[in-house]
Amino acid sequence: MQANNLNKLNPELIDKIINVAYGDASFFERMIVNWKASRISEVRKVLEEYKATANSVHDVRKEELPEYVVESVRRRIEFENESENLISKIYFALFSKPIFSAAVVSIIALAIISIFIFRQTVEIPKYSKAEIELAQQQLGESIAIVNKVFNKAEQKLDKEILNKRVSKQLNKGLNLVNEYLIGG
Amino acid sequence: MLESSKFNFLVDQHKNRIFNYALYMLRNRMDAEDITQEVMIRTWQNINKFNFNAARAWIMRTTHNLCIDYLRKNQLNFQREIPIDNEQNNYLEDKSNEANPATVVNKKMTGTKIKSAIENLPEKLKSPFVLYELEGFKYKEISKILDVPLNTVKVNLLRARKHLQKELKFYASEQLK
Repeated sequence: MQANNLNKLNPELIDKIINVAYGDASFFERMIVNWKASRISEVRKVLEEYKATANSVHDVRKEELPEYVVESVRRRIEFENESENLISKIYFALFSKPIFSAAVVSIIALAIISIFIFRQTVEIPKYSKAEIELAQQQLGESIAIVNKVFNKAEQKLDKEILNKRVSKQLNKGLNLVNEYLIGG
Repeated sequence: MLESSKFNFLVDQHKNRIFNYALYMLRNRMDAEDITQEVMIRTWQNINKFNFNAARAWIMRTTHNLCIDYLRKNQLNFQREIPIDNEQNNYLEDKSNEANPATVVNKKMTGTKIKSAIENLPEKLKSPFVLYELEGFKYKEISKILDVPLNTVKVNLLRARKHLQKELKFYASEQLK
């Protein structure tokens, strides 16, 4: 009966065996487990199995990170730093010294003030509706007068100047030429 | 200049640790590289904000959180896409009695199978197991990294060891058939 009880592996004992096999048991736990393993074959068997597994786990080879991964990270960090540096350079160039920041602020203030002043001095004249209609009517009358003048000029040119004076002289000239050529 | 030196020092110290942890969590080399890159960039962005002595825990906590976010976002199944290590084929030789069951298990164990068994652990058990057994963190550090109580770390670690043992015994029994 007592032998059967000793041979039984209770969960608490198994936990101790595991701790001993993996090397993180207390001194007391190691003593108990090793004593029992020396007397009970089942305990010894379980202990050896767990020790074998623990040794295999601790012997597992670790993977090495490929160097290109680290290089790509370094390149990305450098790129981000350069971008930040450019922005900070501009920022510091403008605002690092009081005189520069004062000059920038003054320029901006002057520009704003100038815009306001310019807008006030340039007055856009405003006309009423009646004035606009009157102006349109006068424009129409003026165009009609000019049109009339051009029409009269055209008529005078066609009927009097070209017909009577220009063509008459041309005919006279042509007759003289005819008489010369035929008569002579 | 000082920031660059600090950053370079931290990267050299922790790059493999970050990568290995991400590899076990995500089980995909490309994803692990992406996560590692992201962790390094965040380290740079926060280089002046955290205590240098607490950098190790901060870096691993960031790695863990990014891995969890990635897993939840992508809802990865437990199929391995790219094997972590195709070349390693270490046999662990044991010269003790052939009839001893521990010897049989030991002989059949390979490096790749151990890694596979660790990968197949449930996420809650895998994290403390990898951090403790493979990366050498202490219970308190793991508690901070995973943001769980100390006792939870110890319990989950014990459960992970039992789970792993079952996995490997199953594998060993399959090999013997």
